[in-house]
Amino acid sequence: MKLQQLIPPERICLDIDAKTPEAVIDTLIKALTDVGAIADPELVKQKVMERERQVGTGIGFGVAIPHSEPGPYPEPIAAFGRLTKPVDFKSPDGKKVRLVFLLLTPDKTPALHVRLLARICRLTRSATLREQLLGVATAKEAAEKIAELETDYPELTP
Amino acid sequence: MSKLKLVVIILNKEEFLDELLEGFLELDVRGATVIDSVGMGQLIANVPIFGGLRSLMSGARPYNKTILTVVDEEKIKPIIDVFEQICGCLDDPGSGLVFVLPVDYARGLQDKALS
Repeated sequence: MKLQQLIPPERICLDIDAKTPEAVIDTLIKALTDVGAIADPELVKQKVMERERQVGTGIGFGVAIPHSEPGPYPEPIAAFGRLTKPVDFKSPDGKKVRLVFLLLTPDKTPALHVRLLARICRLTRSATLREQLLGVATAKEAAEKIAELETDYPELTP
Repeated sequence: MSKLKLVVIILNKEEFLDELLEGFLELDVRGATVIDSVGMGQLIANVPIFGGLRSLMSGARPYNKTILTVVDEEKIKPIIDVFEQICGCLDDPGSGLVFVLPVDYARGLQDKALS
């Protein structure tokens, strides 16, 4: 499995106009609900916000990965959002965030949760990818940029 | 049953440590010990008579990290691949060093270790 398989264009929201992490998370959960990826958006929000309150999910470099602990999801689910204005996800470097990956993984594969978090961290360390994601015009292009960089990365086992 | 191996990595480009550990997590390598270390070149070049050696150490850096991890042997190639993807080819001067030793006996290895 690769991250790119979880983030097809229909799970990418460019130019989210939100002022708080909660509003960003709401938008991404709605996008996943609209494509039928999430059956219980209320539960997902509750779990993601619970995690968000523990410690901010900003990882630095203007990137955040809001997520819930592994939960009752049938498969790994992800979405990517680009924000029009930077939002504070309490990143360790203090930098506000414009690139957000929402990640949900099944409780039956807890190790995959860590692997996917690590994969997103590694990919977004690339300043080139971050610039590309900030600059793309369409969701399809964003998906392609992620897939391009991930080509040389190993498959993640569930 | 797969065999356990001790993988020893000398990481010269310390700035890649976090990314390398993230790469380990992707491979389900969940435990490793990271030690601050110093190369021989740095120490010996501080002895005045050997000061000239500094200029001969192409790509060498004063400090490095030594990473120890015990893994199933099938993880060795993926670990080396991810090291080279992040830190560059091991054959290039200054990127680092990897060697692998057999493990005769081990206790305390935890499947879920994230130490």
